[in-house]
Amino acid sequence: MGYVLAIGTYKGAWIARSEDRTAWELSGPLLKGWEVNTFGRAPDGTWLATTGSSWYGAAVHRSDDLATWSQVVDGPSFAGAPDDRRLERIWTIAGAGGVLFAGVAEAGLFRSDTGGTSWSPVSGFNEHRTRSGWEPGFGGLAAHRILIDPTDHQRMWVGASAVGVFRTEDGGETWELFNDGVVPAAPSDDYPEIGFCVHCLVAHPDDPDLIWRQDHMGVFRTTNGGDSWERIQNGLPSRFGFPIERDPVTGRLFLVPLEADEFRSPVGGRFAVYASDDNGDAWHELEGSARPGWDLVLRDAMSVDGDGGVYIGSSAGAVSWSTDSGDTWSTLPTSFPRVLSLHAFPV
Amino acid sequence: MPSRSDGWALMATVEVTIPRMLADLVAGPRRFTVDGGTVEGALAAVVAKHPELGVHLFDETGSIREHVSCFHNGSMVSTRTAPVANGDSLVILQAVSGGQAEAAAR
Repeated sequence: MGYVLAIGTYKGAWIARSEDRTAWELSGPLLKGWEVNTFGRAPDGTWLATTGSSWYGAAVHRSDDLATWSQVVDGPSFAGAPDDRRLERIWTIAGAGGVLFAGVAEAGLFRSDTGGTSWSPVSGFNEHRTRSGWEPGFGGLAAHRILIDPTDHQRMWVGASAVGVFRTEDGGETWELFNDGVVPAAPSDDYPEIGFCVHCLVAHPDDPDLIWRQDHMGVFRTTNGGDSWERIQNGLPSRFGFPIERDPVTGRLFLVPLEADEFRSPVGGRFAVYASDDNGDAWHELEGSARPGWDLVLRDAMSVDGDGGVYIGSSAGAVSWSTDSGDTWSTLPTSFPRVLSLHAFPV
Repeated sequence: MPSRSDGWALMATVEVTIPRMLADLVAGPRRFTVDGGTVEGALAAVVAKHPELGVHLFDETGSIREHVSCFHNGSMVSTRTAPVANGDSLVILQAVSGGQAEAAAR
């Protein structure tokens, strides 16, 4: 077994390959000059990547070998939408049961039943009854995280900033908001159920109702699929941050705290990954990850490979990894443009 | 995608140059020779050859993207329905505007 690390940056993508996660062979830049916002895989194993640009818009790309990419013509699009919303970025791709979903900005959801070669809007989400009240966070109005219940693909969760966490029980036909216990970052007068700025979500692979949430307003956990959330910040130097991940081998949770929304850098200039070994009851710094630094990790720039491997890419272009669930860390000798997305795949 | 508005305009053969970023998407050249009656029509002809470029040149309303600049014989295009003539040059560039402010929350 080998490993692929897909690195999406502000100026293109790089692919790192390794047999043993000790040394990596790097190729790139691919999709040169484009923001590469996320990666995924189609049901048949085809690699997927999304590009974005303030000038030229967003698109989905497919590849059989991670080297040659072809753009999807019939990609997600808001053409014909009831208002003047625009497809700005494609932030996340998730799939189960042969179906792919893409979360985009301006906040929206699309699905593909054709392995990513064509996409259609999920109207139940995109035209939600609260839509007129949706407001962007600092990073824009984006549906940026999708969770799918592996035991029941009809159940899904979508995290959208600054709207909140949505859940569907019918495969995306209808959606409701589930954010009780979380403080809204941008309260809405018209729709009190929205205004929550969720940054990232991760679920327990064997218990889909156990979900952890890095939010603008703190770190939270639900044990009932989102019906209620509790704050879990014991031991953290701050409540703010972007990514949250979980190693399925050890159960360890990971996040990267930042000082505050007004100052989005590590507290005191000490860059460090924090971990919890008890489902979030308590957190501690992973000393092996700590270094002087004012850079940050964006919400799609942390990944696990399912084999004890944890990976982070920073806004300063540093890509680091651990093969022992975060106890020790190494850093690639090459620095990159601002890392927007980082996805590790066992191959 | 814009509807072809060239019906009223005389068709002409023009050269269209696109940025390297877009040319790389279609593994093709940067310059195209196409037939069109208007600026918009000529760009639509480029998209007809390479549909992948449609989303990058035109927005959801079918208009040329806000931060995409188009120069017609060296002058910035002010009217996308302006007629073109044989031998005209259209150059697509990314506008000086449109650079995204660094947003930490991605």
